Amino acid sequence: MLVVTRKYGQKIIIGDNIELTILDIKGDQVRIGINAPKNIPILREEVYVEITSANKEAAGILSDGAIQELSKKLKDEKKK
Amino acid sequence: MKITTSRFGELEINEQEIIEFPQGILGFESIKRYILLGFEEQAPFKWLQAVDDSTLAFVIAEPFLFFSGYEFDLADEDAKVLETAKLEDLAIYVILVIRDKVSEASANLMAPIVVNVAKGKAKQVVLNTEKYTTKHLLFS
Repeated sequence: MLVVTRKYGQKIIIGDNIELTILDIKGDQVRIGINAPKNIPILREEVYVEITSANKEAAGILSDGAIQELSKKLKDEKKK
Repeated sequence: MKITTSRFGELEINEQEIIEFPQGILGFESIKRYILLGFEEQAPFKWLQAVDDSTLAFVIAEPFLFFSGYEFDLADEDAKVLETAKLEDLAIYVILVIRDKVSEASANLMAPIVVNVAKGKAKQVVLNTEKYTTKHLLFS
């Protein structure tokens, strides 16, 4: 891993279109400003892990039978 | 154009129907193009089928049918990807997990799929709130 030391207000440039700025440092928290092209998603790691695993689960086991059953159930409820 | 799907076989689709996710869907970032498929006997559920991966499909539905108070603000960065910030341009869906036990069917309200219908651009937006999780039961 590349390790770079930066001071408050200093930047890191990645490639030719990503820019990180150290906006604030308070105790054990660092605020980072990020400028990047719009096709690059930027997420906190824990959120990335959570959504990725939810999506993988959703794309995995899906039951056509259950979808039809649910659909029927909803339509029957509407008729009542 | 013709596409092949593992679930629905070969489909003839109109290229204008393709929805582009410029950032992909998290976990499947390299797949950018999808189409929406709906079947009468499965309404209100729809399939978000990948165009370039025959096996990849998600079941989605409009969240408001199940969660009437569902709401969120669209972040500026998301509006940029979607090329609009106007509500009337947008369709909102959530990804569902539907297994054999229908009582366990759940929706990911934390990361809805937002589609700019006219421009065919979409994004799975991640809500910056603790109100919603990736697993809300449809029937509770």
